[in-house]
Amino acid sequence: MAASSRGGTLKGALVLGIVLAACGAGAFRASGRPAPAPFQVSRIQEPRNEAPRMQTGFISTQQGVFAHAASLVELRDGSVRAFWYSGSREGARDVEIRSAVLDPRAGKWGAERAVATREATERSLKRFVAKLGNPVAARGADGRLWLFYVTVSVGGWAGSSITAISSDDEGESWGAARRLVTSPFFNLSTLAKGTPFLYADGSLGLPVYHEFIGKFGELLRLDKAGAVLDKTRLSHGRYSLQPVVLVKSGEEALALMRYSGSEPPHRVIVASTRDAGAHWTPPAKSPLSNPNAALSGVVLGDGVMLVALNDVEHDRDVLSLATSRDGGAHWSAVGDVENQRAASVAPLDESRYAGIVTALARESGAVAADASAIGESVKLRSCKAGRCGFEFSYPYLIQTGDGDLHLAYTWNRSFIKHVRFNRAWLEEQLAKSSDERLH
Amino acid sequence: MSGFTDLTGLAGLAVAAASACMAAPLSGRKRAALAALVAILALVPLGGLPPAAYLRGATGDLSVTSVLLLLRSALGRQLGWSPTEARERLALQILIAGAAVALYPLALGAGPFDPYRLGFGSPWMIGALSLVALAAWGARMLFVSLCIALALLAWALGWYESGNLWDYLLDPLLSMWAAGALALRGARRLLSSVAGASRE
Repeated sequence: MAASSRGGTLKGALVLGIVLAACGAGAFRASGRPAPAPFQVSRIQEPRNEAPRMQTGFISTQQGVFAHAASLVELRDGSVRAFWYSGSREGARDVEIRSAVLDPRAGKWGAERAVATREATERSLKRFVAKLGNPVAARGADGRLWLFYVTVSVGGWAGSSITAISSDDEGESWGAARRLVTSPFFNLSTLAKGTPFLYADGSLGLPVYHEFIGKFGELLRLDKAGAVLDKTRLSHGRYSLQPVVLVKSGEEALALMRYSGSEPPHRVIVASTRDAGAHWTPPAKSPLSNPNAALSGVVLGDGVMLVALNDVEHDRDVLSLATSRDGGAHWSAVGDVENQRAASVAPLDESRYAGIVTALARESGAVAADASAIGESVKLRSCKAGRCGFEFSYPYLIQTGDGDLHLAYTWNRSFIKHVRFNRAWLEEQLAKSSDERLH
Repeated sequence: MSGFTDLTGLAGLAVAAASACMAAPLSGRKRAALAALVAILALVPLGGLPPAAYLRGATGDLSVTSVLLLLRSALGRQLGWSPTEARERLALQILIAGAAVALYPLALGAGPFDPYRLGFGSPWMIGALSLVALAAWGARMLFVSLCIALALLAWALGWYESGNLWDYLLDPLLSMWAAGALALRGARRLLSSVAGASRE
């Protein structure tokens, strides 16, 4: 009896020791958590007195594939690396994350290649992966290149989680994959689309979104090793996705989100912060139209906000630019990068559609033979039962150190297109747009 | 670090597979051999990935609480330990189900507040957990106390790939077990009271 009592006391003392050690270890880890940090404000001053300049071209070259969700990042030598995903169809097991580099002097994109495949990702993550999705690239404060991409093990996109890989040689080779754990329920469902940004302490802000039952924007804060430090809500409810964060100052930022609701008016959802993201205003509808489609944006050298979006309430056959000079309170249309609304009014048959697409491809910089092949390739993907449609979507906009703006977007779900322009061209388009409104 | 956390994550699932074998109607030694074999097979790569990795793709890593419960059950059966006291088991189920009800709906977007955020090192959450662990110890519920303490310790040491304390405390499968056990208990009590009333 006495031995049993002694055993019980010993067991109790041992458990108490473990509890106290755990409390101490937990408090120690919590004390090492980084303090909230202001946003890093990095403004690129655009060169003055340049002539207006704009050029277009195709980044992806594979024919007959589904290509979608481009992302861009500037490399140390001033060139631009693009990422996107492509495969036989959206969600197919053969979808890969592909990449190509723009030679800024020649103005040409290099050969594309796969940087992440489903098989390599599941081997690295030590878990089954069924499909890959949206890639988003970032430059860490230590110069390392990061690529975040969506992976799904079970179900549709609502079952997504984010996988991260990093590169120390500007994207030529990539390290082991790391899965970000961001949700308690089977790690469902976090996806990325918006451009990452830095905090003043070197941590990385990754705008993400949740689309299982609720649909809302979130913001992940990651340390230099890619570990999740914190997660904040940018919105709540069931109708806002794919946030883009536009940093105004160390404390102020605007979050713009895709509206996935059915209640008109169909507008971009907006939230803002004045305390470096500790609190965000309730989500509200902005003046910008949105047909349940992604958008992208940057803040220019003088604080002007520039966004690329489908500024229409339905369909994605118009892709436009808009600017705001007052921090997002009012927006002015710059003009359309793509507009096939007129061609889409009447039903388009396959041969007429292929003709229009071939002409557009030629205008976009493709040589004649390539343009015909592009026309045929797009026709295969964008025509169903003899009816065809246009789609210019998922824009991704960055500004490089030379002040140029680079826009990449999905071109008819078959190719990734690139538009490069300078501030002078943007101002010229704004002036034209303003003149048109006056007349 | 990812190599280590892959190992711990897969090992947790191997423990689950081995624990399932402990229910097999075999003699003690054969049952233990089968459980050990299944645990090893779960970690041997077949066609590139070990079987546990396929399970991991669907379930994610098991919480520390789940692994401890499975180990307690498997070792208890093998070594002839007395089962956890009913009041302690009930307390654990109530804690798990209560935490799940507070966490999952809000984390999935039922409101603007996200309790999952607290798991990224909130001192309030660590303080509250410490108090619950000490209270359980004071009430002589040593296993409850140990579950909370080891989950907290594992989080502090970065045992799993998740940096969120919630993922060490509970997981959806554990929550379903706790909620199911409580629902069953409630249904049994209801039935017995109905049966008692009809006898009267």
